[in-house]
Order: sequence, then structure tokens, then C-alpha cells
Amino acid sequence: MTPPPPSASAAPSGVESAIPPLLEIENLRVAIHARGARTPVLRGVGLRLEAGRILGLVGESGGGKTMVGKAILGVLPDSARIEAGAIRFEGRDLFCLPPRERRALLGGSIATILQNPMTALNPAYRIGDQVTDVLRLHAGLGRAEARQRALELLASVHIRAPERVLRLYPHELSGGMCQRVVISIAFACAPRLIIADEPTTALDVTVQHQILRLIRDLQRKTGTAVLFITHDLGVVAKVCDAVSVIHAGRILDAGPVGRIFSGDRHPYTEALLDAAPRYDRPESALRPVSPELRAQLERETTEFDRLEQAAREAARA
Amino acid sequence: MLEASGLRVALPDRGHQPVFGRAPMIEILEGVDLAVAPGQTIGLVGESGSGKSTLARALMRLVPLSAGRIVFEGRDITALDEAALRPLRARMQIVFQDSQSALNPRLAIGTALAEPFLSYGRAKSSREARRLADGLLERVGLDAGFAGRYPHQLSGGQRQRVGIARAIALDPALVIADEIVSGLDVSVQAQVLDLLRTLRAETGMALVLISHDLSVVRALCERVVIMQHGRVVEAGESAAVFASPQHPYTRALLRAIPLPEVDPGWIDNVDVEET
Repeated sequence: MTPPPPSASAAPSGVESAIPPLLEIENLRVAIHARGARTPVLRGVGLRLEAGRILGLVGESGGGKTMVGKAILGVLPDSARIEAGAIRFEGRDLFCLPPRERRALLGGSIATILQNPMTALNPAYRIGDQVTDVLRLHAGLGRAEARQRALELLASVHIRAPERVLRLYPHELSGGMCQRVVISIAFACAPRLIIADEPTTALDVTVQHQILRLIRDLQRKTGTAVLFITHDLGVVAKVCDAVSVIHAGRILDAGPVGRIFSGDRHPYTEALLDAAPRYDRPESALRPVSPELRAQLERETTEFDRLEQAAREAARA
Repeated sequence: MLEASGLRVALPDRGHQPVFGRAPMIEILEGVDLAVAPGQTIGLVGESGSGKSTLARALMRLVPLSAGRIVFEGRDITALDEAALRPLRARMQIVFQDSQSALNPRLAIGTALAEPFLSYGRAKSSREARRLADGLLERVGLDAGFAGRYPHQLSGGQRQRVGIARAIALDPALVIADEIVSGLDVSVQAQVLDLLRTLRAETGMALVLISHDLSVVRALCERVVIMQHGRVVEAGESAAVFASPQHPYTRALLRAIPLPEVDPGWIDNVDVEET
């Protein structure tokens, strides 16, 4: 039905293991259909995430990294169509699950941490209601139990005076504090997977450090796996076990951080690293991704779409 | 060229706005000194709430001062009224972080860029202003076709170029750039920083680059000023400050930056809460 993935869609070879990974995405193709036009956004994405690991998904804006997260969560925009592929969570294909079962996974087994904690929380409800809601819905706790557990959760994300914070509204907290609350909600039901989409991008560096430490500590303690979506390769190097680099909906580079950051990497990954200034290397020139590389990637993308189109027509004939 | 001393700014605390009467004032700047020499590039660094954006606005006389003095090109501008400030506004310009809201959504880029030439009498006709605007686009690396486009049709990086174009239109002696590359992809960020470097060399303008990103500041600025809680905690030559930061807060900021190198101990061993 679908063409074989082109050579560049390098799912890392040699990392296949006998046990199915916690999360496995295979050949995921998503296109946006708007005003009669079809625009591919994910072009055969493949990812594997083992239980208890942190996988970084890195790319520029528009590259499709957030779409991958949304596809896992089942919250793609209405205009998006899943054209091929599978997302398997603990061996079960999420696309084949009845909607009810799929919804039950969210917030329970699969949780999210989003970029903007202020919008992730509902401004009209107190923090306490938002934390206990999850516990009552997914863990089936009663009102008093949920409150008790909420206090523990807020304490576990190092919020001082959790009793007071439970009574507050999101706007009464700083961005860093809100993100702690979001994290406490994410970890509330001992999820096996957390999708964290740019969870520290809106925060100051010192707060970012605290939040990264918090996510990593909770992740170690609970054995949760994290898909860490970010544009910041520095953050990836510090918190992730492995990284996949996405561009125009294709995974161009993938591997353990040790390998990627020691220099064995795709030219695009290299270019992203070269473009970011480093305070410890003031003399190095800031090089944007070169027009030649952009053109090369563009050609590969076009070629991919051409092959796919040909395969569709062949299938129709 | 610009010398500010003892700047104090207090603004109403919107977090505690009472139903009746005035909100209580909170001190945003608690006595800040800043000097900018002609052609100098200074990086102004601090976390949110440190007062760096308020300082930028105070230098431009966009917020009321409760104390302090600002001297710009030899003139005390602390108490000048808007009419007297107007000719000076051409000499000192600011580029804001949010390029979307900094541009009028209903004005084509060409019109927006032609406007300063007309309102400051630098063009005799709107045709001449248009021609000058086209020249500006070229200087910031956008082709003339952008003149007919509207802000929403541009990417963030392109809009930021337009913001820069508008700032340099009247050959200012000083440009303040407030977080203009945050929120841009690294590759686009590199292009915008490179553009600033080029323009600085071409025009000899002084640049105050406000950023929370010390790596960005290190790449561009010869001097750096670190702010925390409305005060300057450290200031000096970039090379010296980055080589041996003196203030604990500066050290914490530097350690908190995740460099793209694998370092499993970074999360645990780096203590950024020293301050």
C-alpha cells in the first residue's frame, strides 16, 4: 500500500530487542487536509521508547515534533488524517482501540506536560480541584483520600505550603510553580508514559534546571518513560537517554545521546548544534542551517512525497 | 553617549489591584546605573522579573521614573516632555520581543517602514519614503516583495527583521533590542544575530541587547550587565565576567545553562539555588 520508507528515514538499526518497547511508532503518516489541499506533516515517522527511559524528540518549529505527541495522545486537529502507520503502546495498537479504552489511557497510563503551564491549567478552578479531579477520575479515590494524595503530590514536586497552594488559582502562582503543579498532575496516577512537549521552554534557566531535575527524579522513582519534545539539544544532552531528530515530518537522525553528542550524527543535527551560540565558545561563528543543506532536505522531502504519490496511484489502479 | 544613574521605577502592582482606589506601587528598579559608549554593544541579562525590560523602557522614557537621571548625547532627558523628546526618539530606538504585536496588523510592511521617513520629514514624498523603505528591506535581508505583505503573512524571524528595519530607519545612535531572538528557532536566531552584527558594523550604532540567554549575549556583546531583583549585581567586560563570574547569581545562571554535551551529573551536581 505504502512505499518503503526512503533511506534517510533512519530508524536506528541494531537496537531491536525481543521484548516489545513501551511505545513504538511505525511508519506514521499524517496529512492535513484543508481547502481541498493535502499537506503531509508526518512522513513515515518511526520511534521506539523503552520503559523507564527518556527519549528526546528534537526539531525546528514546523518539523512535526508536536504532531507526533498529539498523534500519541489522539488529539490531532480535525483537519489531520492518519494515512498509515501504527502507534503501539505496551504492544496494543492505539488506532485499533475503542475510543473509550483509548480515553481511559490518557491521564492514567499516558500523561502530558505542556509548554505553557498557565494554559495547561484551567484558570477558573482552584489548584486543589484540578489535582484531585485526576485522582478521583483515574485512581477512583474518594474526596478525602484524593485531597490527602494531592497534598503528598504537591509536596513531592517541592511545593512548600501545599495546603495553601491547593486553595489558590493558577494566576496566583508563578510559571515555575504552575509547571510544578502540572507535573504533579502528570505523575498523579503513576503513568507509564509522559509526553512532555517543551516543558521548560517558557521558564528561566535556573527554574528550568529545577524542573528538569524534578522530572528526572520523579521519572527515576516511578520508572515512567518520557517522550521529551524540545528544540533545545542542550536539554536533550543533559536529560535524555536517546534522541530522534525530526525535520519536515521525517526522522533524520536517531540514537543514544552518547553517540549523537560525541559526533556520530546526521548533518542536520550537526547544523542545529552549530547554529546555537555557546557561552563557552564565544569565538565560534554562529552558522544558520546552510542553504545547501536546506535544499538537500527539501529535495529529499519532495522525493519522498513523489514516491508516496506514485504508490498511492499504483494502489488505486 | 547614554548615561543613566540611580534609576528607580515603581509601577502599580497589578496582582493586588483593589476593587476601589489605586493598586499599591512596587519597586521594579531599585537604583540602576548604566552607561553605553558610542558603538558599544552591551548585553543586559536577568531572569523574568529582574527589571531588564523595565530598564529598557525607562531608558527610552516610556515609563515614569521615581528617581534617577538619564543623559543622552550630552542632554539631560530625565524631565523632557514628549514634544522635546520627539527629535531624540529618532536617535534611540527599541525593538520588542513580540514582533507580532509590535507591528500594526493592518499596515503592509512597506507602509509601516515608510512611515518614519514621512513623520520625521526625511522623505519629501510618499514615493521617496517607499523607495527608502525598499532600501531598508534590502539591508535586513528581505526582498522587495515583502513591502506588499502584511505582518501575519511573515514568519517570526521575518517579522523580527522588519522590527529591526524600522528601528534603524532613521540612523539611530542607540538601538535597544528586548529579547528579540527568544522564541525563534536556533537557525533563525543565528541569522538575526548575524544581521545585528552586520548592521552594527555598517552603522556604528550602539546596541543594548536584552536577553535571558547568556550564550546569545556572549556571542554578540563586549560588555555584560547582570540584573536581579531590580538591581545590577554584576557588570563588566564579557570576557572577564564569563571567565570568572564574581557574583553568586551570575555563577548560578551560567551553571544552569545546559550545554549540548552529555553530562549525567549535571542535573544533580549543579546547584543553581545557591543564591
